Amino acid sequence: MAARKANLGASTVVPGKTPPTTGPLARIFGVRHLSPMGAWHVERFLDEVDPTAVLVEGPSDATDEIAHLLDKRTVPPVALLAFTQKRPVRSVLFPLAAYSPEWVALRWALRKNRVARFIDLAASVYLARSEAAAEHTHEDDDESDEAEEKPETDTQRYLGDPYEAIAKLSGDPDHDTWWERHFEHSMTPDSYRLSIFELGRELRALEYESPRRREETLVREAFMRRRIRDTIAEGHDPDRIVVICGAYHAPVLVAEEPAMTDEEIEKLPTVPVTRTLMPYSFFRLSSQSGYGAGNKAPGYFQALYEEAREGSTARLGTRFLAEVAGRLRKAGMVRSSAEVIEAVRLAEGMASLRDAHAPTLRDLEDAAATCLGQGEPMNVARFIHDVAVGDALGKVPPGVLRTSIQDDFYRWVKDLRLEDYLKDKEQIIKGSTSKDWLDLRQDRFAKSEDAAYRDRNRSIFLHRLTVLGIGFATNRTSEEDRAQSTYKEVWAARWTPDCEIQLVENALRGDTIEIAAARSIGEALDAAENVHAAANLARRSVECDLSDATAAALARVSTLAVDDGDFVAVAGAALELSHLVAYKDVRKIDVAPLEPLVAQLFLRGALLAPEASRCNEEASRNVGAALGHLHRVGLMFPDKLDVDRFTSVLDAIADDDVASAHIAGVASAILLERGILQDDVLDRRISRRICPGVSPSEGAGFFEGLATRNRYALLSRRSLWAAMSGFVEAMDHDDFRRAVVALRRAFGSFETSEARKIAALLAELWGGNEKELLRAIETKVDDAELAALQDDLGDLDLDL
Amino acid sequence: MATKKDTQKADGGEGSVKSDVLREPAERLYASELEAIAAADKFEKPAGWRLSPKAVLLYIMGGKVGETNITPKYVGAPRIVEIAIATLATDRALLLIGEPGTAKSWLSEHLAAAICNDSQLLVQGTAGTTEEQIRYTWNYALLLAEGPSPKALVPSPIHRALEAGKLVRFEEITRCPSEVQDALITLLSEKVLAVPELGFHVQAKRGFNVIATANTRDRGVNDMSAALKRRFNIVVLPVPSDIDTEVSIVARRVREIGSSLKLPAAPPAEEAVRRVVQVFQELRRGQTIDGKQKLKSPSGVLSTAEAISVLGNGMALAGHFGNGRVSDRDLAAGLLGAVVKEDSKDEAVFVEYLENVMKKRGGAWEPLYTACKELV
Repeated sequence: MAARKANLGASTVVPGKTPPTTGPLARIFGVRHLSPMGAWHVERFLDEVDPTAVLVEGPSDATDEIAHLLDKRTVPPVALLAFTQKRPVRSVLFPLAAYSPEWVALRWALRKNRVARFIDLAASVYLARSEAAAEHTHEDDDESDEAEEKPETDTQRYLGDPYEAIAKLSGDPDHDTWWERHFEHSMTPDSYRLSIFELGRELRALEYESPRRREETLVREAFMRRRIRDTIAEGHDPDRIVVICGAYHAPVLVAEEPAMTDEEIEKLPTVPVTRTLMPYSFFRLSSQSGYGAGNKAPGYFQALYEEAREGSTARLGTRFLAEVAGRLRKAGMVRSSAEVIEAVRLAEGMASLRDAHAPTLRDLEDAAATCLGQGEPMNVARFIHDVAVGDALGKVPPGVLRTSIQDDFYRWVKDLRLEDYLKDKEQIIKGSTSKDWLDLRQDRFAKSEDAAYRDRNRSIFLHRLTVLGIGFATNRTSEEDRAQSTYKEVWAARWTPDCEIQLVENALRGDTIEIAAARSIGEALDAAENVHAAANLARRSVECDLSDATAAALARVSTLAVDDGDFVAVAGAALELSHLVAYKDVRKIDVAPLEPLVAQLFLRGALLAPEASRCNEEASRNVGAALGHLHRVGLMFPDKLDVDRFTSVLDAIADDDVASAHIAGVASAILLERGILQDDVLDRRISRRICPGVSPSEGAGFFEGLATRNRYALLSRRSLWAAMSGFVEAMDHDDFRRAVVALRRAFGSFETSEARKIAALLAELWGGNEKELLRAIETKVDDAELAALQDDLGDLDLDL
Repeated sequence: MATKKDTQKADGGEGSVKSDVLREPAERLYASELEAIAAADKFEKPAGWRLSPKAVLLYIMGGKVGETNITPKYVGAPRIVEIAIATLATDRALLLIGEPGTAKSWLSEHLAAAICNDSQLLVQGTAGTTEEQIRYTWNYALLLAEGPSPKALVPSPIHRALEAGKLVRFEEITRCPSEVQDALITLLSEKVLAVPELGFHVQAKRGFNVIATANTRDRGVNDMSAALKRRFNIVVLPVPSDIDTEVSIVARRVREIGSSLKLPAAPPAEEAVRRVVQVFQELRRGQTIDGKQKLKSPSGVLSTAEAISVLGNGMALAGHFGNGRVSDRDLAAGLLGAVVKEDSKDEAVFVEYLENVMKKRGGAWEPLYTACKELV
């Protein structure tokens, strides 16, 4: 690449050009990044000037990567990425879409064999300089996303964000709409370049930047001026050099301002960085994906650029609305062409209310909501979003560069001493104590901090890989281990080529394992429909040590808890979260936000229970188990929960004749366990539920529910057995056949010693001989008898 | 129905016109403002309009023309009014939908007053509205005496609007039987009214258009057919989203009720009004005011009009059975009644709100929480 460039230089350059002494150093074209009309104008401008060198504001050490842009296999959107080689990994991202002015300019230069260079500070310098600053993900010259800095001068205080202030003054709802209205629809030659130059000049006069930011801007501009002068010194005619830079910098790339000297360049700090060209997506470009870089509606801007290249943006609104209608139709909602026509007319009408010649995205959205969504924005929001954002995915030539997530992975593997497991052979990962399991507790005898928590860090790393679907290690912790302790984990590792592919597939999710895992959980959260699933994700994010994801998952749980009317899911979520509290020492998690959430779920569970308990027999088992879950949660935090409400709800269920008999039984059992059920009340309920005349399956179901817990309390209860006896005796053959399944299930769980006690009670009741009865119970049934029984019971599957 | 018309109009310049009429139409009440705007209006006017779309927007949203102050007629997002005006300017019929008390009729009256200086061409939709009220009817004495003739024809408001090129307002369109609504379909697409008895057509003059209003609560009563819906641009008027606006609307209206009913109680304190409005807003939105907590919304709608009635009720209770000062106990019953209407599940919603939100606030909310808790 370098050789090719030198070659090019020799053919077009006559040494000895001098830079101008006043005015612009070269032909400067200020742009906004990711501005389709800017891209359109830049292309025209380049054709007109026909420069020998095209200089673009971008990390100068990435110049070598430019060649990849012309590769036929490169499909935008792509991003130049530079990241530090040491932890904590910080990165700068330079996204390029087909409608980026920079992309258009670089492609133009490469196609015509002209010199193409990046002229901004090298990424290595930029990252070294911003060491102290908060993580910065993008060189964004709009500088509108600088929320972390406090305004300091009067102008800053007054304006806050000058871009929003401009929008407000001109009566537009936000800056993007103002920008689109004024810049993205104007195809008059030179109008874009001249008006954006004025905008940049006026903005500079405001001095709204914070001092730190200001200083950085000045350093970058001095560096860019130096690079332009260097290019002129190489022999390029200043009038045939085109500089593409942010609008804000355009006014100061002039001869009067000083350029950076050799000594100053020497003094710039640097850190080692890795650079790469990575595939990007419209979704990541749109601000919804969480990056400050990009713009809200890449799909819409792409369409705008395509329309502009066709010669006019007049058809843009029609194209956009027709596409929205198309998606609505695909989703099964009939929308006629007449409605699309009306929407286009309305959008144009609204544009003319503001004296604009073309509707903006905002107008189109409102028109779509009015005409296609019947007045409700919610009806069309999803479809508008899909069309506006688009789903384009970029591509880079295969095998060119390693993605940063791969680097991150191997760095972790080394730090955590997991290299030995990178073999295509299954191995159990040995913990710090050389046992076959990881001990998540601090190793008090370890010499360094790293070693003390190595097993915990390994566990976190492996959990993150699991979340990302990278099949390197599988969790083999058994239920028994889990019941015994919260600090023991067993992992089996095996490295296959598939793992590498899975790793690369996750590159789009983020640049490090941590970021990708967080995003992956975020995606799963958005898809989670039930509160139990969300609570489960909360537990997984705790295991992955992702505090932001945990917070998001808990917020999602609290949101879903409001809507989710599924009692079983709510109770499951309450139990899941209360388990998390148990992790607190091992995983160092903050339980403060958990407790109110558990309380909320507990209350909601209590409120939902009466309705849920009126269910059919099939569902009754789950609901009964869920009541048990809530009971367990209630025992864990007796002071913090509305336990009184829960017990009164249980009481109501136990007394509710419409409730499923099994659940009423469970409710009674819990009340009995808590010792708040009066004897006479229980007796009355037992005799009402289990008495001759009650449907056999219901009576047996109630008994089964009652027997689910704390059976000793039942054994001594003579009235219960009297009722049971009467109940069974009153059944005829058919009824018995119906009841026997539930009865067997209930009695099957009794121990032999318990059965003996029951026999004693029954013997007393029936006035028979206790020993004889016992013998009858304990005699093994022989095969002949079993066959006869099976015959008798017909197709009932008793699993005898 | 009184609250419906009055919730938004308190800023209006009533009283400037003195007459025996209980309620003057908008174009007469605000005649001076309309004149001032018309005089200063230099923008292009759509055919048949008295003002340009921008001037109409100014009239509705308020502002200043020369020395004349224009009072805001609609408190809320200007964007909604812009969509409504742009709809009428592009010759589409406009349908305003909203909860009770969201100023639907109020907005339609002022739009008609500003655009054609006549807000009185009005069809009041009821279950008893017939097709004659949309098309035309006959003077039967003349009809019997002379046979069908233009003289015997009695035009409907819509008929007259067609001839004059004006706006006609159709109130509560979803309360009309659907066969009556259907009479509008061809009228709106062909812009012509056929009179087969006399063998001629009434062609609509430029400027003719329809503004219909419908109540969200009537959904499912007489739903508009898809064909008719397609002929309207639908604009949904939101309930006041900002608490201060709603508090001021409610407080003013409650004071008026108190004095007009001569209730022996002082109007509730601003804080009490704010608390009630906040409960309404939070339950309606399904989240707390600070946006930090999601809530379950009750199945029924909670309109501004109901917040007013909760407070009015509280005043009556305090006046007749209490010490004349509205206490939280007086409000609690009304609040419960407003939230839990038909569905028993709404009670669970209210309990959750009490426990998860109101209880945690403590402080000034404590008495209201305790009073509500006693009831559920």
